[in-house]
Amino acid sequence: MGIFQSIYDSGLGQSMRESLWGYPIALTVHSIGMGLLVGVLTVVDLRILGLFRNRMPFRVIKPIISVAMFGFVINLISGCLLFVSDSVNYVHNAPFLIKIGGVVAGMIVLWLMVRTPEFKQIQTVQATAVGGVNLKTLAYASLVIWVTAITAGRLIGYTI
Amino acid sequence: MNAILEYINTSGLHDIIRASTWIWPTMETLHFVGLCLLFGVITIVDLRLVGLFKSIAYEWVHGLINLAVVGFIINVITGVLFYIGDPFRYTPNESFRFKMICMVLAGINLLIFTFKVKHEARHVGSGSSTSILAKCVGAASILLWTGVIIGGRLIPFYGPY
Repeated sequence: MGIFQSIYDSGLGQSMRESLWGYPIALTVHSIGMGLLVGVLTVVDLRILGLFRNRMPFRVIKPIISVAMFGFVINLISGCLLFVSDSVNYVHNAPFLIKIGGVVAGMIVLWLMVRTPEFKQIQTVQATAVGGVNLKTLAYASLVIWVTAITAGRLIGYTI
Repeated sequence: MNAILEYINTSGLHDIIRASTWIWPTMETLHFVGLCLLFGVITIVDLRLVGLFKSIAYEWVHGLINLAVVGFIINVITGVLFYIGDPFRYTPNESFRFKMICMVLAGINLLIFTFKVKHEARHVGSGSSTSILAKCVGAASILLWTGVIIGGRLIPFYGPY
């Protein structure tokens, strides 16, 4: 896997390994991004499933997704920095691969969610509405996927 | 102080936590899930207090605090178990101390929110602005909980560890 060796040997990869604070700072920022991404998406999923339906109008889930996307961008950047520090080992680590698969699946599920009729007509959807069968299924999948991604991500440190 | 730590370090619960290879990573994973619930959810409420998402009436997101409390409870339980599992490591660790200070300050901030901000904020409708105090409390909450995460994440790196 020459490309991962090249990433490992790159200037950025070397800096991340040699710097005393590069890795811990990237890891800390990654935790903050995780909190924003998964915490906010959990609210979105639970509201679709019917929790808070009497207090939080359905359309509120649309603007707050931008906070989750902010967390995702933070983690894409910090995640790439963590990856280049040890790319050759990460690509052979099963929890890492499961985690990346989970993140990709989670983002695809989010993309499918915003394409449902409920989202496309969100301004006219009843305040107390819940998701239809398709949207609810996506919400359940989202919850399971993100918990899986966190669990696998946490296990990288134990197995690499 | 040392006697207390020694008592914790020789307790039955300590032995149980340290007995299995899987208990510690499982607790860490739960601690991360709790982090997401607490931090991600409270940030939505805080951002509305600060003045973002003005189209959302404050009352609509106020109920989310309950979900953040669920995350907090998960993390207090797992956090106390970590401490029981390794008291001599955490007690002198400066990152851990920073985390605890931030958490106490976040608690004080929550008291200010409960007694000085909450009642008035619940009348802040769609398109309306919160008070200056509410904005400060919201901003302080985001900063302090971020401090809690920073301190916690740096425990294995800055210390002594």
